[in-house]
Amino acid sequence: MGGVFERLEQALIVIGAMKEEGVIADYAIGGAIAAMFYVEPILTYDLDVFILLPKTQTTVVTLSPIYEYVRNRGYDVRDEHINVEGIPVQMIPAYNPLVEEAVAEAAEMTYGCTTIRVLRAEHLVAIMLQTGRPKDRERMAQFLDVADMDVGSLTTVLFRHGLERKWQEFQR
Amino acid sequence: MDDRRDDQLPEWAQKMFRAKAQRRRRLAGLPIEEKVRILGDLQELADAIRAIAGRPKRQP
Repeated sequence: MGGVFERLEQALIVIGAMKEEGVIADYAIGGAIAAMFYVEPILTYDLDVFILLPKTQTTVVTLSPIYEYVRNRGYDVRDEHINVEGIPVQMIPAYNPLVEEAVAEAAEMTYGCTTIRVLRAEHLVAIMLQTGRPKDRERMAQFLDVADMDVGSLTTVLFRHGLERKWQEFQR
Repeated sequence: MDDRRDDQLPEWAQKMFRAKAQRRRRLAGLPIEEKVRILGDLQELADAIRAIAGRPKRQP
């Protein structure tokens, strides 16, 4: 197994292949790894991936095809995490309109030699605001301090998803 | 007697925090590849602290 840089790239390649092969409709990197594209390095051990699932006849959300796909490629699935080269990857189906929009409008970025999709800073902040855990609030402060954000775009996203009041409370 | 209010930090401490903020901004501007290498170092450091504290190693 290589260093974290190489192992993360391998995990990103596997996720990209899932999209190419139609196992998922789309994806975007979220969580601490996404945040690191905009702020300083953050200690984390896992890779959160927000996904849009292919349209089916049923409304039941199942990750079974994803788990089957990775198992067929020799990777383990444990406690809802896929272990790719020692990187625990959590696939999180978009669970509300904000996250769906965030995945659909994600930015294409390059990691090593791989093109990947990463949540935009404005959507990350909106999701952190909506989630509202202590670590989200701490990370939001980091974003406001150092991230290069489009304030107009952030305001629009917050308004569209009814988060203006939470935002005002956070800024106090 | 020192007449500073509790919410006023001494100048040396303010300078230290300013330097810390500058360092964070500099780190934020690094390429993602470099940040992930730093993440690897942070994970090793955190694992070493866990070991010293007698906590079990994180399982991938």
